[in-house]
Amino acid sequence: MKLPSIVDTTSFKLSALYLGLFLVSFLAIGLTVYWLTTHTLEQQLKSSIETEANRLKAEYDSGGIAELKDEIDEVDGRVSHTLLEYGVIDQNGKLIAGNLNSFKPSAGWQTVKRTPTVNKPEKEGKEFLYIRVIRLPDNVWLGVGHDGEYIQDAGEAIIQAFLWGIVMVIVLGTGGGFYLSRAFLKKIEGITSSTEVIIAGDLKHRLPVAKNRDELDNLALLLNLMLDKIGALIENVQQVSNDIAHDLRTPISRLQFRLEDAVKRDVSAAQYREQIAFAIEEIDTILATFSALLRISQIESGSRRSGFKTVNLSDIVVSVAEALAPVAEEQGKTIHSAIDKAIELTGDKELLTQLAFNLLDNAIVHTPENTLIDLSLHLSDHRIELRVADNGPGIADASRQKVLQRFCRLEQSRTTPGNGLGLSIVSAIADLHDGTLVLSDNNPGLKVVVTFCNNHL
Amino acid sequence: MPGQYARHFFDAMKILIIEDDNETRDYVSAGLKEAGLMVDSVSDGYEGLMLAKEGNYDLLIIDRMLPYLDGLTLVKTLRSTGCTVPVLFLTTMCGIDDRVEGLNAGADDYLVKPFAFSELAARVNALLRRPRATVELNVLQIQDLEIDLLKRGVKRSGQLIDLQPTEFRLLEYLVRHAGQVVTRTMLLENVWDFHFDPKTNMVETHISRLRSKLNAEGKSDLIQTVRGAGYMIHEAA
Repeated sequence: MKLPSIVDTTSFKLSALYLGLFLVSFLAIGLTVYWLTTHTLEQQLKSSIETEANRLKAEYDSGGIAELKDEIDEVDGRVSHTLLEYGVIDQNGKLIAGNLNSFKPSAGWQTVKRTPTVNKPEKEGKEFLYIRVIRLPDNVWLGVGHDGEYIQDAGEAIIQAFLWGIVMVIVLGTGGGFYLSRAFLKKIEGITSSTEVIIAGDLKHRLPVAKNRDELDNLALLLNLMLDKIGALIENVQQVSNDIAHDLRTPISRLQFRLEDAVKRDVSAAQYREQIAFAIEEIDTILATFSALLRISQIESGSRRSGFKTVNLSDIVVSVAEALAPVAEEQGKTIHSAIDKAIELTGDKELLTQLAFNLLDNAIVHTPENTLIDLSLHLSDHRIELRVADNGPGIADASRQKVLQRFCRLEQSRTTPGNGLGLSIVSAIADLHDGTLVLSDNNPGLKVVVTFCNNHL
Repeated sequence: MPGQYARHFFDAMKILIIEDDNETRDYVSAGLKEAGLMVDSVSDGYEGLMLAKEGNYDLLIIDRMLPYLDGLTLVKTLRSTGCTVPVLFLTTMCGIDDRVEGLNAGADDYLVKPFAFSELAARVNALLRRPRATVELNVLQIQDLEIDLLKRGVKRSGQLIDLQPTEFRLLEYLVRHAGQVVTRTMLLENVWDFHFDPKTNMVETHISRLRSKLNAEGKSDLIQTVRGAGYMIHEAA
């Protein structure tokens, strides 16, 4: 299957979106920082210029222009290392005192760009001056200026830093997006190729699951569980068809021989009828085996679980015991039952009935005369125990597990009725109800115990 | 084989068979005709539904899987129009859920293919005989037998017979279906509520016990065994 290009992946689109959002907020922060910094610096500068200008105005007020001139000359000489500049101009802009004349004769704040002065030759390009102009009497104007370039420099530095930041964000963000999307795509690729392998027929193959499980691995894990279940079902179906192939072949070929034989020979009507009766009987057996197999596979598929209801297991076991008591008695066997009342279980009534029936029926059919059969149903510690035990010959240790297999019949002669599926059905029904089926030695005899969790509290 | 069902069982009863398999349809149709029934048959669900609605039938025998309209939908549709004709489902679907599904859709009985004709005939008979409006009786009487359903007591020729609860239910079922053949499967389903085939001769054992209790002191045998089919209690001696 063709995978989408990285740019089309969900993770890449998501990271692009986040990148955009991040850039916008980054830009907003940058502008705020820029404005706050330059504004604060400007306020600080202006207030110190203002103080100096007011001081000089006071000098003028006390001693006139001469005093001011002296003060300016003195200060200029003293503080030449500072960036403060002074000037007094007349209304024509002619310099009267100091050396700052690049302002207009108008009171207030002025900002001025100008070429560097002689005493600051290292400055190339433009200087940026903040000038406070105060109008003095006699139509002269005092200007106190200070270089404000450092404020611009600071602003530029901030903008530059943020621009670099943006470049880094874009580079890292896009790269990260690519990396994430590639990792995501790689994972998807793993799942896709595994799926293709499974589709191609390798049902044992499973999707890859990484150790550090993310949600994709969890999904893969779940899909693997589903595949396990499907695999088990398919195996079950294969098992059933194998069983059918093996165990139904014999009776069907027997039937064929009989019918062929009947056709070949010239026999009387009565003999024909006998052969046909035999054939019908044989077909009945085949059909019964067939439906038992289908029933097992249906039970094993678990679909029956959806119809689970609260059932009274005590009533079920009692009714089965009642149904089979006369049969046991007729065969000279005694059933002794000890059934606790009102034991409830969430399950399937029809199947639980069959489970109890098959267990008790087995105990009656496969034991000799005078056998004592113990049937009990108890509830203890949240466990429900259904027990069928007899004092007959029992089953040898080696064969005990074998009887759970389909078509297993220990009696080679096969004189007793049955198809070897009774216990398989019991086992499947117990499994369906999350119960366990255990066969053990009853010293003497066989003890079969089915244990259910008391899921109905 | 179908001949053993006396003609008078099915006097002038009309049956519709909706079945797409020709062989099965012909086999069932021929058998039921031989037993004295009037039989119509169609092979697809849609036509079947039309006929079932219009024709005045006493029983419908419907296959689950049909062309154009499946049996389950057919019965549901029919029931939704208020039609109460008894329906017997025939099916190859032996799934354990299918029976419940079929009965929930409104079918009255359910028979899994392959089936013996005797089984089908017994069930058809039971469905045709079923009283449409049931008058609940407290006492059932047949020949010299009397069953008190309230006191759960049984008398034969006035003499009290002590029966186990299962034996009582078994007898009650047979008497309620007096004059009809009741098969082993019908007994398993209706008396014991067992919906699987127990390989043991359980039914036979219970019948023989019941028989020995009923027929004590050399009285005539009430319960007839119908070979290859089941059991029957005659309405009159």
